Amino acid sequence: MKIGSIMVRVPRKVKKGEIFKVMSITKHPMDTGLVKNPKTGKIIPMWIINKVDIYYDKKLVTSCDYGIAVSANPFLAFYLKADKKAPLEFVMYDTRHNIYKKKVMINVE
Amino acid sequence: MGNNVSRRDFMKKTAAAAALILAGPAAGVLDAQNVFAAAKKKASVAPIVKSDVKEIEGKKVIWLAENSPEYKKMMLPKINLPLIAQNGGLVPLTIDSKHPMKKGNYIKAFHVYDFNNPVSKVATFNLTPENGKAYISSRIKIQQDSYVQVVTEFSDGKMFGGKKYIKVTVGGC
Repeated sequence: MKIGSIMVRVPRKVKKGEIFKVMSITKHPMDTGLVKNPKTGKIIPMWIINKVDIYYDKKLVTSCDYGIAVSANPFLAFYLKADKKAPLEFVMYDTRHNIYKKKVMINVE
Repeated sequence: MGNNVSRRDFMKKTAAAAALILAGPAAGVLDAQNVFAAAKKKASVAPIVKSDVKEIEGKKVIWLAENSPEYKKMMLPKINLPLIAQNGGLVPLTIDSKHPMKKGNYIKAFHVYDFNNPVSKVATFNLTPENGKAYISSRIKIQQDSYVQVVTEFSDGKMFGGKKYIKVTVGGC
């Protein structure tokens, strides 16, 4: 898997007004900048995801600010209320100015 | 004549020899020193910080006693952490509240702090009424035995704190 790829799990179908769980996992090393490489003895520079924005129907629903103390391959789970058939979009920013995106469709009956 | 050793003398001499054999090689003494060194090393871990978050961005944080009726009334979140984390680099943290998420009365954010970490701020999770339920699950790094503090920010701007103690066998930050 490539660094920055986001896996999202949502239910296949939801009823209108239902509150459902969204789970996500992102592949990222989340280096704190405090650990030494045991082979070379040099400090591994800091490289973390510091901001996560989640949009549902182009509206900001949830956002997170991460510090260095979020584990590698950050996991995030939260609940959402189903309103209409619309995309759910994850946007993540990291300290090397990379932007990672992932879009999933939410099928509301 | 030489063979003429009394029983009492014989016992005394053998007992002394036995004591010398036991204590002499100094192996036991060295072991004891190692144990002391290990104990000292363990004690050198930084002491647990017991102070709480006092303010965030100029706003005061209110700490209620956990048994008080106000605490239950506020529907402050339950912090779920393992009792003992074997790997400090991967500790599951779940924050779960029954507070309603209606417009004008909802939980705006969870701020997570740990003062024994190299950087005390762990993360902030911002929520909106669209969430329907005030729930966040994540995984964090923890350096050593400490208190994980969660400050709940409500939509009216008030902040309330809650904390939970966790033991960590191998630090991960």
